[in-house]
Amino acid sequence: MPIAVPIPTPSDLVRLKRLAQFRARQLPGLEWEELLNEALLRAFDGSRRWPEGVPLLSLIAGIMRSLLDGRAQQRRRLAERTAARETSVAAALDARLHARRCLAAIAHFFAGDPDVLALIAASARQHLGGAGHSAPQLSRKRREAARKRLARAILRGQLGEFLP
Amino acid sequence: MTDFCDRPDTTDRWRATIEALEAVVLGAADVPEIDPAEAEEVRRLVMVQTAWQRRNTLAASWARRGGILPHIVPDAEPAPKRSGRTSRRPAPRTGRYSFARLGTSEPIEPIDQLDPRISARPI
Repeated sequence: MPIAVPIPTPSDLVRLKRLAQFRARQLPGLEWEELLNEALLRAFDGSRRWPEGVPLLSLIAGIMRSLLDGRAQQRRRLAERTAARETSVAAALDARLHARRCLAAIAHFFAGDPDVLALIAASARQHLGGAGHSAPQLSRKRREAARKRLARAILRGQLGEFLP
Repeated sequence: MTDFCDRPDTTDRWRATIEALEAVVLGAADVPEIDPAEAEEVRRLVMVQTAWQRRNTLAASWARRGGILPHIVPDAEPAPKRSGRTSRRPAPRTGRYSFARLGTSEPIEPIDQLDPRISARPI
Protein backbone atom coordinates (compact mmCIF):
# COMPACT_ATOMS: atom_id res chain seq x y z
CA MET A 1 0.00 0.00 0.00
CA PRO A 2 1.60 3.33 -0.98
CA ILE A 3 2.16 5.74 1.87
CA ALA A 4 1.07 9.35 2.24
CA VAL A 5 4.20 11.46 2.08
CA PRO A 6 4.43 14.54 4.28
CA ILE A 7 5.93 17.54 2.52
CA PRO A 8 9.55 17.80 3.65
CA THR A 9 10.85 21.20 4.68
CA PRO A 10 13.90 22.70 2.87
CA SER A 11 15.91 21.92 5.99
CA ASP A 12 14.81 18.27 5.83
CA LEU A 13 15.69 18.11 2.15
CA VAL A 14 19.22 19.36 2.73
CA ARG A 15 19.67 16.97 5.64
CA LEU A 16 18.40 14.15 3.43
CA LYS A 17 21.09 15.01 0.91
CA ARG A 18 23.83 15.03 3.55
CA LEU A 19 22.67 11.67 4.87
CA ALA A 20 22.72 10.19 1.37
CA GLN A 21 26.15 11.70 0.67
CA PHE A 22 27.68 10.21 3.80
CA ARG A 23 26.03 6.85 3.37
CA ALA A 24 27.03 6.59 -0.29
CA ARG A 25 30.66 7.06 0.76
CA GLN A 26 30.47 3.74 2.58
CA LEU A 27 30.96 2.01 -0.75
CA PRO A 28 33.40 3.45 -3.27
CA GLY A 29 31.79 4.23 -6.61
CA LEU A 30 28.23 4.69 -5.36
CA GLU A 31 26.47 7.97 -6.19
CA TRP A 32 24.35 9.62 -3.50
CA GLU A 33 21.52 10.40 -5.95
CA GLU A 34 21.28 6.75 -6.90
CA LEU A 35 21.15 5.69 -3.26
CA LEU A 36 18.59 8.31 -2.26
CA ASN A 37 16.45 7.51 -5.27
CA GLU A 38 16.38 3.84 -4.42
CA ALA A 39 15.58 4.58 -0.77
CA LEU A 40 12.72 6.92 -1.76
CA LEU A 41 11.37 4.32 -4.14
CA ARG A 42 11.26 1.72 -1.37
CA ALA A 43 9.75 4.14 1.11
CA PHE A 44 7.00 5.37 -1.18
CA ASP A 45 5.93 2.09 -2.71
CA GLY A 46 5.26 0.77 0.76
CA SER A 47 7.68 -2.14 0.52
CA ARG A 48 9.29 -0.87 3.73
CA ARG A 49 7.09 -0.51 6.76
CA TRP A 50 6.90 3.01 8.15
CA PRO A 51 6.31 2.73 11.90
CA GLU A 52 4.04 5.27 13.48
CA GLY A 53 5.85 8.33 14.84
CA VAL A 54 9.11 7.75 12.94
CA PRO A 55 10.15 10.90 11.03
CA LEU A 56 10.63 10.68 7.27
CA LEU A 57 14.35 11.44 7.63
CA SER A 58 14.90 8.55 10.02
CA LEU A 59 12.95 6.22 7.78
CA ILE A 60 14.98 7.12 4.69
CA ALA A 61 18.22 6.96 6.67
CA GLY A 62 17.32 3.47 7.88
CA ILE A 63 16.46 2.32 4.37
CA MET A 64 19.73 3.70 3.00
CA ARG A 65 21.65 1.93 5.76
CA SER A 66 20.04 -1.41 5.02
CA LEU A 67 20.50 -0.91 1.27
CA LEU A 68 24.20 -0.26 1.79
CA ASP A 69 24.62 -3.22 4.11
CA GLY A 70 22.84 -5.40 1.57
CA ARG A 71 25.09 -4.20 -1.22
CA ALA A 72 28.21 -4.68 0.87
CA GLN A 73 27.17 -8.24 1.69
CA GLN A 74 26.37 -8.87 -1.95
CA ARG A 75 29.83 -7.67 -2.99
CA ARG A 76 31.45 -9.84 -0.33
CA ARG A 77 29.53 -12.94 -1.41
CA LEU A 78 30.33 -12.26 -5.03
CA ALA A 79 33.99 -11.87 -4.21
CA GLU A 80 33.98 -15.13 -2.27
CA ARG A 81 32.37 -16.98 -5.15
CA THR A 82 34.74 -15.54 -7.71
CA ALA A 83 37.38 -18.00 -8.72
CA ALA A 84 39.97 -15.30 -9.17
CA ARG A 85 40.97 -14.60 -5.59
CA GLU A 86 43.09 -11.65 -6.66
CA THR A 87 39.97 -9.77 -7.73
CA SER A 88 38.29 -10.13 -4.33
CA VAL A 89 41.49 -9.21 -2.49
CA ALA A 90 41.84 -6.15 -4.72
CA ALA A 91 38.23 -5.11 -4.08
CA ALA A 92 38.66 -5.48 -0.31
CA LEU A 93 41.88 -3.48 -0.43
CA ASP A 94 40.14 -0.82 -2.50
CA ALA A 95 37.32 -0.51 0.06
CA ARG A 96 39.83 -0.39 2.92
CA LEU A 97 41.90 2.26 1.19
CA HIS A 98 38.78 4.33 0.53
CA ALA A 99 37.74 4.02 4.20
CA ARG A 100 41.21 4.97 5.38
CA ARG A 101 41.27 8.03 3.13
CA CYS A 102 37.87 9.19 4.36
CA LEU A 103 38.87 8.76 8.00
CA ALA A 104 42.13 10.58 7.37
CA ALA A 105 40.25 13.42 5.66
CA ILE A 106 37.99 13.85 8.70
CA ALA A 107 41.00 13.83 11.00
CA HIS A 108 42.68 16.43 8.82
CA PHE A 109 39.55 18.60 8.55
CA PHE A 110 39.09 18.75 12.32
CA ALA A 111 42.79 18.78 13.12
CA GLY A 112 42.36 22.07 14.93
CA ASP A 113 39.35 20.89 16.92
CA PRO A 114 40.26 17.90 19.10
CA ASP A 115 36.90 18.02 20.88
CA VAL A 116 35.04 17.28 17.65
CA LEU A 117 37.43 14.45 16.84
CA ALA A 118 36.94 13.03 20.32
CA LEU A 119 33.19 13.28 19.92
CA ILE A 120 33.25 11.46 16.56
CA ALA A 121 35.58 8.79 17.91
CA ALA A 122 33.45 8.21 21.00
CA SER A 123 30.26 8.01 18.97
CA ALA A 124 31.84 5.67 16.41
CA ARG A 125 33.07 3.44 19.22
CA GLN A 126 29.52 3.16 20.51
CA HIS A 127 28.41 1.98 17.07
CA LEU A 128 31.25 -0.53 17.03
CA GLY A 129 30.02 -1.98 20.27
CA GLY A 130 32.58 -0.34 22.54
CA ALA A 131 35.62 -1.68 20.71
CA GLY A 132 38.88 0.24 20.84
CA HIS A 133 40.67 2.08 23.56
CA SER A 134 39.01 4.59 25.81
CA ALA A 135 39.16 8.25 24.88
CA PRO A 136 39.22 11.16 27.30
CA GLN A 137 35.66 12.04 28.30
CA LEU A 138 34.42 15.50 27.42
CA SER A 139 32.30 17.51 29.77
CA ARG A 140 28.68 17.91 28.78
CA LYS A 141 29.12 21.55 27.87
CA ARG A 142 32.16 20.89 25.66
CA ARG A 143 30.44 17.90 24.11
CA GLU A 144 27.38 19.93 23.15
CA ALA A 145 29.51 22.75 21.76
CA ALA A 146 31.52 20.23 19.73
CA ARG A 147 28.32 18.64 18.44
CA LYS A 148 27.07 22.03 17.25
CA ARG A 149 30.33 22.77 15.42
CA LEU A 150 30.28 19.33 13.83
CA ALA A 151 26.63 19.72 12.77
CA ARG A 152 27.37 23.11 11.24
CA ALA A 153 30.32 21.77 9.27
CA ILE A 154 28.25 18.84 7.98
CA LEU A 155 25.08 20.72 7.13
CA ARG A 156 26.90 23.53 5.37
CA GLY A 157 28.54 20.88 3.22
CA GLN A 158 32.07 21.88 4.25
CA LEU A 159 33.02 18.42 5.50
CA GLY A 160 31.44 16.68 2.52
CA GLU A 161 33.50 18.74 0.10
CA PHE A 162 36.63 17.75 1.95
CA LEU A 163 35.99 14.00 1.78
CA PRO A 164 37.37 11.91 -1.11
CA MET B 1 44.93 13.13 20.45
CA THR B 2 42.29 10.61 19.58
CA ASP B 3 43.27 8.38 16.72
CA PHE B 4 40.36 6.81 14.98
CA CYS B 5 42.15 5.93 11.77
CA ASP B 6 43.54 2.63 13.03
CA ARG B 7 42.13 -0.57 14.52
CA PRO B 8 39.98 -2.64 14.45
CA ASP B 9 39.03 -2.95 10.74
CA THR B 10 39.17 0.29 8.78
CA THR B 11 36.00 -0.38 6.83
CA ASP B 12 34.10 -1.15 10.03
CA ARG B 13 35.47 1.99 11.62
CA TRP B 14 34.43 4.05 8.62
CA ARG B 15 30.96 2.57 8.75
CA ALA B 16 30.73 3.38 12.46
CA THR B 17 31.93 6.92 11.76
CA ILE B 18 29.20 7.33 9.14
CA GLU B 19 26.68 6.18 11.76
CA ALA B 20 28.07 8.80 14.15
CA LEU B 21 27.85 11.59 11.56
CA GLU B 22 24.37 10.46 10.58
CA ALA B 23 23.26 10.70 14.21
CA VAL B 24 24.53 14.28 14.30
CA VAL B 25 22.59 15.16 11.13
CA LEU B 26 19.40 13.57 12.44
CA GLY B 27 19.79 15.20 15.83
CA ALA B 28 20.58 18.68 14.48
CA ALA B 29 17.79 21.12 15.22
CA ASP B 30 17.93 22.95 11.92
CA VAL B 31 20.17 23.70 9.00
CA PRO B 32 21.95 27.02 9.63
CA GLU B 33 21.79 28.45 6.10
CA ILE B 34 19.95 26.61 3.39
CA ASP B 35 21.13 26.76 -0.16
CA PRO B 36 17.84 26.86 -2.13
CA ALA B 37 19.50 25.11 -5.07
CA GLU B 38 20.44 22.17 -2.86
CA ALA B 39 16.98 21.89 -1.36
CA GLU B 40 15.46 22.13 -4.85
CA GLU B 41 17.73 19.37 -6.13
CA VAL B 42 16.51 16.94 -3.46
CA ARG B 43 12.91 18.14 -3.73
CA ARG B 44 12.96 17.24 -7.41
CA LEU B 45 14.13 13.73 -6.59
CA VAL B 46 11.33 13.32 -4.06
CA MET B 47 8.76 14.73 -6.48
CA VAL B 48 9.83 12.37 -9.25
CA GLN B 49 9.36 9.42 -6.95
CA THR B 50 6.00 10.55 -5.59
CA ALA B 51 4.74 11.31 -9.11
CA TRP B 52 5.85 7.88 -10.27
CA GLN B 53 4.06 6.30 -7.33
CA ARG B 54 0.89 8.25 -8.09
CA ARG B 55 0.91 6.99 -11.67
CA ASN B 56 1.61 3.50 -10.46
CA THR B 57 -1.27 3.63 -7.99
CA LEU B 58 -3.67 4.80 -10.69
CA ALA B 59 -2.71 1.92 -12.92
CA ALA B 60 -3.08 -0.54 -10.04
CA SER B 61 -6.62 0.63 -9.36
CA TRP B 62 -7.59 -0.37 -12.88
CA ALA B 63 -6.01 -3.78 -12.76
CA ARG B 64 -7.79 -6.87 -11.48
CA ARG B 65 -6.88 -7.47 -7.87
CA GLY B 66 -4.81 -10.56 -7.34
CA GLY B 67 -6.14 -13.41 -5.23
CA ILE B 68 -9.79 -12.74 -5.94
CA LEU B 69 -11.17 -15.07 -8.57
CA PRO B 70 -14.37 -14.15 -10.39
CA HIS B 71 -17.28 -16.40 -9.42
CA ILE B 72 -18.95 -18.36 -12.17
CA VAL B 73 -22.64 -18.23 -11.41
CA PRO B 74 -25.14 -20.38 -13.37
CA ASP B 75 -27.69 -18.44 -15.38
CA ALA B 76 -31.20 -18.21 -13.98
CA GLU B 77 -32.72 -19.47 -17.23
CA PRO B 78 -31.54 -22.71 -18.82
CA ALA B 79 -29.74 -22.34 -22.11
CA PRO B 80 -31.94 -23.14 -25.17
CA LYS B 81 -31.36 -26.63 -26.58
CA ARG B 82 -29.78 -26.99 -29.95
CA SER B 83 -31.95 -28.61 -32.54
CA GLY B 84 -31.80 -29.55 -36.18
CA ARG B 85 -28.98 -28.53 -38.43
CA THR B 86 -28.18 -25.33 -36.76
CA SER B 87 -24.70 -24.36 -37.71
CA ARG B 88 -22.26 -23.86 -34.88
CA ARG B 89 -20.69 -21.06 -36.77
CA PRO B 90 -21.66 -17.54 -35.92
CA ALA B 91 -24.10 -15.99 -38.30
CA PRO B 92 -22.39 -14.24 -41.18
CA ARG B 93 -22.25 -10.53 -40.64
CA THR B 94 -22.93 -9.82 -44.26
CA GLY B 95 -26.33 -8.41 -45.11
CA ARG B 96 -28.19 -7.85 -48.31
CA TYR B 97 -26.39 -4.62 -48.91
CA SER B 98 -23.04 -6.32 -49.11
CA PHE B 99 -24.37 -9.11 -51.30
CA ALA B 100 -25.84 -6.53 -53.57
CA ARG B 101 -22.42 -5.08 -53.86
CA LEU B 102 -21.15 -8.51 -54.87
CA GLY B 103 -23.69 -8.64 -57.63
CA THR B 104 -26.49 -10.71 -56.07
CA SER B 105 -29.43 -9.81 -53.87
CA GLU B 106 -29.66 -13.31 -52.29
CA PRO B 107 -27.56 -14.39 -49.31
CA ILE B 108 -25.02 -17.05 -50.23
CA GLU B 109 -25.46 -20.49 -48.62
CA PRO B 110 -22.63 -21.64 -46.41
CA ILE B 111 -20.34 -23.91 -48.37
CA ASP B 112 -20.97 -27.06 -46.24
CA GLN B 113 -24.72 -26.79 -46.87
CA LEU B 114 -24.27 -26.84 -50.59
CA ASP B 115 -22.30 -30.05 -50.86
CA PRO B 116 -21.45 -32.17 -47.78
CA ARG B 117 -18.50 -33.73 -49.63
CA ILE B 118 -16.80 -30.40 -49.88
CA SER B 119 -16.85 -29.81 -46.15
CA ALA B 120 -15.55 -33.38 -45.50
CA ARG B 121 -12.57 -32.78 -47.69
CA PRO B 122 -9.54 -31.60 -45.81
CA ILE B 123 -8.41 -28.19 -46.80
